This record gives sequence, C-alpha cells and structure tokens, in this order.
Amino acid sequence: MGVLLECNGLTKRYGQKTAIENLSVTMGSGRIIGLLGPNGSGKTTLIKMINGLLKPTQGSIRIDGEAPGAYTHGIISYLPDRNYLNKRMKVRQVLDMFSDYYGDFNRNKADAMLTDLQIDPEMKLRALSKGTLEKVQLILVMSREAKLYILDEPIAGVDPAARDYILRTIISNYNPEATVLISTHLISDIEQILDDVIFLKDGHIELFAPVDEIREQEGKSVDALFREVFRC
Amino acid sequence: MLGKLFKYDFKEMGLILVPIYLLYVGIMAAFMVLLILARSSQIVEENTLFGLLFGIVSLVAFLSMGLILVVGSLAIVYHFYRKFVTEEAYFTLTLPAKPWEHIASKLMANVVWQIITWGVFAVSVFIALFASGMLDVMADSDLFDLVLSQLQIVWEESAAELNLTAGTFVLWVIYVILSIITGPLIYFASISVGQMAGKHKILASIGAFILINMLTAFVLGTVASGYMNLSATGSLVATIVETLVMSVIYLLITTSFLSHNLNLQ
Repeated sequence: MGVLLECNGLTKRYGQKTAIENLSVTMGSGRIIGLLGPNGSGKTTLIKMINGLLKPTQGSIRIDGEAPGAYTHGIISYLPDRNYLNKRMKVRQVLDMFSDYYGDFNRNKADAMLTDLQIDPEMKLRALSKGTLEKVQLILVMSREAKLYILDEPIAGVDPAARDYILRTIISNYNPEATVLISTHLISDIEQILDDVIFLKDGHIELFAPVDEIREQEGKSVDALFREVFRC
Repeated sequence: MLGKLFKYDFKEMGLILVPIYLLYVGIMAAFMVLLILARSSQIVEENTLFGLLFGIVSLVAFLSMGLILVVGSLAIVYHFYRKFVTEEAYFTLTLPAKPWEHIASKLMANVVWQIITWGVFAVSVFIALFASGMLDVMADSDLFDLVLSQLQIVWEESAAELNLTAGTFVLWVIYVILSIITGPLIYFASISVGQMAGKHKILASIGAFILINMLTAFVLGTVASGYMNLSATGSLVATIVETLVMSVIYLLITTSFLSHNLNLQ
C-alpha cells in the first residue's frame, strides 16, 4: 500500500493565531479515515491546505508525490463544507459541467443517485432546499473515480434519514482502492464506516489509529474516547 | 482544459449580460416606437403627457447607450471576483487547471462578449438613426458627402503633418485589439491583491486598483518623457510596448495570487 497523502511539518498561522502547528501525517490508499475534532481544531484548515486553497506557513504536502496543483486537483474529489456551485445553473447543467471537467466522472452513477433521491435534474440549484443541495454536491463528488475523496462535514446539515443515505452512498460508491477522508464532529453517526481515525486538537494530531485497535485497547467506542479526550 | 474553461466562462458571463442586453433592447425599442410616433404626428406638441413620457424615455435611452458599454466591460470584473473570491472559488480553484488557463479563458470570454456588446450597441445606434429619420436626411442631402469629404481633408492634412502611413493605421488596430484583450488584467491584479485582505476584500480591491493605476501612470509618465520627440508611428510602437509590459506585470501578479497567495478562508 503506497503513500497517497503526506504532510510534513505543516504549520498554518493567521497573524498571531496558529491553526495548524508542525503537523506530520501519512495516509495510504484504500482506507476510510475520520478526521475528528471539535470546532476550531484545524480540520477545515488542514483540508483546505491539502486542496491548495490555503498555502501553509511552513511545511509541505504531497498527494501521490505531487504538491497541490492541477494534477492533484484531478485525483482529489473534494466536498467543501459549504455551497460552492453557481446557483443559477440547473442540476443537469452541473452534471454536464462535471462530466466536461473531470474525465473520471461517472455520469450514469450520478444520474442513478439523482433518481434514487427523486431530485429533478431540471431544477435550478437555487430552488433546492439546503439539504437537497448538499445531497447534489455529494452525488457530484462520489460519482468521480478519484484516488482521494475529501468530505468536509458531509452530514452536518442534513436530517438523520439523509445521513444514513449519505453514509451508504459513501460506502457503496467510492473507489475501493481510493482513500476517503471525512471531517466531522458527528462521530457516533460516522464511526460505523471508518477504518482509521485522526483526533485533531488545537492544530495537533492527538491520535491516529485504526478504529478496531481503539476499541480493543481502550475498550470503548471512538465516540466515547472522543468525548473523553476533548472533554470541556 | 482551456477550451472547457472558456465554454463555461462564456456561458456564465452570458447569464450576467444577456438579461442586461434584453433590458437594453426593451428600452431602445420603447424609445424607437415613441420616436416614430413623434415623427409621424404632432402628438409631442399636442399632448403634454406624451411629451413628458417621450422626454423621459429619450433620456433613459441615451443613458443606456453609454451604460451598455460600461456594463459590458464590468461584467468580466464581477465574473472574476465571483469565481475567485466568493464561495464559488471552492469549485474554481480545485479544478484540474493551471492558473494561466483560468486567466486566459476569462480574457477570451471577455473578448467575445466585448464584440457582442459593441455589436448590440452599433445595431441600436443604427436603428435609432433610422427611426429618427436621420438616415433618410443624410441620404437625401449632401450632408453625408460633405462630412465624408471633410473627414478626408482632415485625414490627409494630419497624415502629412504627423507622417502617418498605412502602417500607422495597422499599428493602431493592433493597439486597440491588444487593449481589448489585456484590458481586464489590471482589474484581475487589483482583485488578486485585494483578496489578501482579511476583511473588506472589495474595498481592498478598489484601493489596490487606485494604487496600481497611480503607480502605472507614474512609471509610464516617467518612461514617456524619454520619447517625447518620436514620430506618431514611433509613439504608437512605444505605447504598444508599454501595454504589453504592463499586461505581463498584471498577469504575473494575478498568477502569483492563484499559485502562491490564495487566502480562501
């Protein structure tokens, strides 16, 4: 199993505030990894640096051996924690656009998921509810045959039934040779699908271990351990 | 990838501009209908309300003719800002495209829409002249021939005095085309510098635009003093070189922002 993502001595400062400090981690292929931490722990900052949306103050990032850029954008399928599409477009037009831009986009899979969720492709994005728009964005991301999927808070703003669908979609639609990095603070919902977890606290990695190992050694669920580690 | 970026930049600028064109066409259509009515009857003199309406619509139409060209130029600025500084940047900046491809596609889309905007403007002017009867007047009288002959005299005297040639005209066309293509780059550079501000990015971009303009004027003014005695053709060549150099600088600023100084918080 090769190294897919490698961060070395990563630091990100905003003036006097340090969001990420001297973070080093490597991730291989074929794993579903939970990036867990309370609000403000640095999860989104780390994800943005991996996607090249923020530049590190110090340190380096390599994805499949390359620094963030056009190549890594082509192998990462990224779901940000916000709505990022032109809302004047129709759902069908957005799928057309993804098919155009990404050679690994599976249009048939995307259409099937739209049908499952009863989303009308002729609707404009601005006419969709917040939850439905998030589902559309997830469908776009999970319909790609990427090497690295990065999902930033994919279940935060949706109802419990939709959360189950999203988790099933993640499991059943991602490339099994790829890695999925899911950032969330809703651990009990997502724990069931994770292979590994990273606990991020104040910009540092507190823990990076397989879920099974945590359960064996700690004798508790990841959610319970998280509450213990991040107790206020 | 450049072709795909251009396709969507062109379409999305169309979403901004086409509704504006339709509004403009509506205003000009109303103006022309009233103009034809006014020409064909005494209604303007006899009916105060119509006269007032005609006056207002005429004013709005003339203002619109100026504004349509300004809006055509500003659409690319708004499009660039939305694609690189708002939440849509999360999509734009994670596309598998190089920074220069993003910039080139927007410049290309802007050229096409500038041509369309000028086309819409030119057609509206022609139809307004037709509706006002000015075309008939010019065709029937010697006025058109008189204006053409005067323009020819002015051109011949200027050409002799300034040593203008066909080559000068070609250079002038090159300069105009270059200006259209590279014109938005100063706005791109200003937005790129402005987005590095933590808050108030729009204000920071405006401030950057003013500063960049002042610096450009100072530098070009200093350089221009060195070639005050050039011929018209020589001055035009120097202006083209200046435009190219400044465009490269603005391009480097913008590319640097897309490659190294993203601040998408």
